[in-house]
Amino acid sequence: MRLRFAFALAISLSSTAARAYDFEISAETVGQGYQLRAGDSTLVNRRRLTQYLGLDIFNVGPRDLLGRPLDRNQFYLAVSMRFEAELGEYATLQDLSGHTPQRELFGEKFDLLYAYVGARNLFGFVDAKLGRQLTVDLFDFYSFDGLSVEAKTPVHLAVEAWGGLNVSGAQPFDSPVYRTDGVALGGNPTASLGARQEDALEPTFGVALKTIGLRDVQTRVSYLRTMSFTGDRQPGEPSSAVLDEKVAWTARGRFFHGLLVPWFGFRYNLLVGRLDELQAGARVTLSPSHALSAEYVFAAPTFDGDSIWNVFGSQAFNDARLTYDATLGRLRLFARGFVRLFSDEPTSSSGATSQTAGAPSALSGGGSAGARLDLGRGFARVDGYYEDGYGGTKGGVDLSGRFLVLGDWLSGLVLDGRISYVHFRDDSRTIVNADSLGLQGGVRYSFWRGLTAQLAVEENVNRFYSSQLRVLALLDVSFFLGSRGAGFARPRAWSPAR
Amino acid sequence: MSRAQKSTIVLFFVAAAAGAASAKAPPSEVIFPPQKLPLTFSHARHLAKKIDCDFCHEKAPGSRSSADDLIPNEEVCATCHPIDHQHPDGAGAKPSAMPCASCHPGFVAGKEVARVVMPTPNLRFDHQAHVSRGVPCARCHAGVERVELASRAQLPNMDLCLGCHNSGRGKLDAPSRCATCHVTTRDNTMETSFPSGTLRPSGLLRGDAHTLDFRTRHAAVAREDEKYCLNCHRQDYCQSCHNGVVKPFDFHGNDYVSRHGIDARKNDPDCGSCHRRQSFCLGCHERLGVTDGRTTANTPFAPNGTRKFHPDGWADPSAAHQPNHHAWQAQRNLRTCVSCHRQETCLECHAAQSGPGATGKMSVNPHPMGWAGSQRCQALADRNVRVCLRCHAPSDPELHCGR
Repeated sequence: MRLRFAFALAISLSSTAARAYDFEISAETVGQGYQLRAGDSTLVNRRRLTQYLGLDIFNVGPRDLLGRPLDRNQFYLAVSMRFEAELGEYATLQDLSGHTPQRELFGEKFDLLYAYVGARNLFGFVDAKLGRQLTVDLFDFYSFDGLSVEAKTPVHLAVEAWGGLNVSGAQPFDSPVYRTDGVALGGNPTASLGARQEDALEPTFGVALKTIGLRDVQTRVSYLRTMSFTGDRQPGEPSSAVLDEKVAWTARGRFFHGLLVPWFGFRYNLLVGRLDELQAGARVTLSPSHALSAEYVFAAPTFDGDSIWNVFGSQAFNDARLTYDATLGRLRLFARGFVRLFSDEPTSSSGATSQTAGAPSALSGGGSAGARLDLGRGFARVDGYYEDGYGGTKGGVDLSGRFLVLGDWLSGLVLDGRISYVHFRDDSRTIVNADSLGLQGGVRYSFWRGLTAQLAVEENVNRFYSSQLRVLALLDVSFFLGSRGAGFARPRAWSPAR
Repeated sequence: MSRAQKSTIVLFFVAAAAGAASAKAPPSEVIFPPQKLPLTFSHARHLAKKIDCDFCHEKAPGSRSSADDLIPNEEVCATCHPIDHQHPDGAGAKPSAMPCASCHPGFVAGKEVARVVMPTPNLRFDHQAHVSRGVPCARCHAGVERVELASRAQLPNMDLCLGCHNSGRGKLDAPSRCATCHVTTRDNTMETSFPSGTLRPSGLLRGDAHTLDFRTRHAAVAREDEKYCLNCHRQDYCQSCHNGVVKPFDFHGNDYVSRHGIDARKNDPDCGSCHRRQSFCLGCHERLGVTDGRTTANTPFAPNGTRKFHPDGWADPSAAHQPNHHAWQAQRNLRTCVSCHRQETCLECHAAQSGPGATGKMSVNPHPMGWAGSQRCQALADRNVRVCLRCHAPSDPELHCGR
């Protein structure tokens, strides 16, 4: 009898576990309207409608007796889609076709931003994702269709490996925002390398070794390679070529119970034989309320392997940045300064350097500061900034705030606002200089958790425009249903104040 | 490195050491909301008498939830301190009874006793699991033997927890997943919004304090360990800006269209982290006719157009050494050029005349000085010679980079 009862209980529990999962559906509709000035000084109306649709399924896997997902062998699905439509006008310039060949701004475009099945802690040591996925690391912010696996070893080390096809704008329903700069799609002259490689598949793979579970040290060494096969090979051309090949190393430490946290990042571009990114810094907590951060960044421009710009002389820049921040009860503030120094790399045919008479200085810099006071039903914030040197001058002040009129922050009526003054002067195109006064206002109303409507408007006045109105309307719907009860998910929101 | 630079670095680390010596992080007020403890009590004196913690906190060893009330009630105190409610001043028949005011400061007979307020912590905690593994109380409640009334100051901060919660690889086999201690939402990210406030990283773990300007400088943390960020944020949160089609109003403030060119040339903030210059930027510029039109259509800014974007002398071959010439500007910030121009613009002059892509009129060498024979030349030729063939003929000896 007892055995029969145990068997019945086991069947009952296992069937519950098999059915149990949580899912969320979210939809976000964004409408924007604004005007831009075209090349012939006419104003072009932009009317953009963007629709996001997301589906997430969580916690498909075994659960404990209380219905909570166990730590191991959990599967999940994440999908994010976007449809974008340009309903406005195009510049009606002489001989301009009207529709740009750029894939980013098609009149109507559907993007599958990501869609993958994930597994967490399989057999206690493997995480994996299969499908279109996004990754951010020292290499870049990139996307690929394929498989990524992370295997954790018992000795504080994990091995990562990933491979698939690079998302480059050439595949169905992808977003060209992940295509490396240097080889603009569309408009390439017939038979040019750009035209022949425009729709080429780009196999990519990478591996990494990193520490895990260490409180005081994190480090990761990684390698990435992306290539493509040559289409319609011309004399002398190889059957394939590398588009991207890099190694990167990052490290972060923690000393004195976290009061000193230094970090370091290094990226070497094997494709062009050049160190193209270096960063190092440290944050020092001076007291529970005050901290100081110092950072050094080196960056040199590199492009897709098929781009001629990799062989051009180009200056790297070196930034030194210092930030102070403080939290004094409900008041938070920061002050930040930076200095930038460009490294000369003259070409054979030009020879001009920063020392050439009349050349803009290799040195530039600037600073910013801000303070925010959190109040019971909102906050007030002030920011100021000034930058000079290469590129031009910009300086301004922003006053912004948010106020909860009704309800709570997730289901209520919220007002936002910002007043800005900015002075700017382009150092190359001297006509681009003005003082500009701007107003932003927003109202957000959550009917209940998960259904939010928002309207934001921006109006600017400067010597180029007596009025420059921008309107943004947003409707956000999120719905969650799962084994732990139904509820509404947290909406995303765009607001003038932060 | 100059002496001044060395001095700056040394000074910074001296400040770091000084700061490290003076600062001590209290437990988070969001995790452990402020308490009201209107009591007179001496943990120091009780512990000095070798009284075990669980003599008073008798439920603690078996507690499995942070919501459990583990504070001893009056009956527990009465075990050693007889209480005579009839004589709150302690002057009753029981000679050992103490006045109520000796534990409840400000006690006035007939008035309600000030209540202890100890909100439930916003985290998961299993006392039983710790006790069963032999973790002494003082490991987490450090210093309790030295204070009178223990308070939030004797509650553990995350630094202390992580001493043992080290991915199950320490002696105690303690996991380091955030969800081990932190409350999670249904999608397995951490709950960060509580009535006691918003939970933000203090910066003591990764130097990632979410300060007012963190949005502008979060890249160093995110690019180092994306999974760390995903403990609290889902990818759609990142993507809403990083694949953005909606302008973040705070990031790109008022009148940004008028002045975005200055930021683009400064590359501050880094445009490329959200916009590719050869799709987003170039696409919009082409749509508005503010490109040179060589590969799309005849715009006002085409070479024979009616308007000029760049100043006079920009492409004058005889003025290539002048800082106002495009050669110098392109060297300084090539990224800005590519937001309006395609490669074909450059090839028009820079291509060698003999190659298959030989549209070049002037064969102007764009390479940096010493390119031939350089490591950069060899690296690129070894990995992608087809880009070299856009300008050079297959028979061109320069393709071998001097080897």
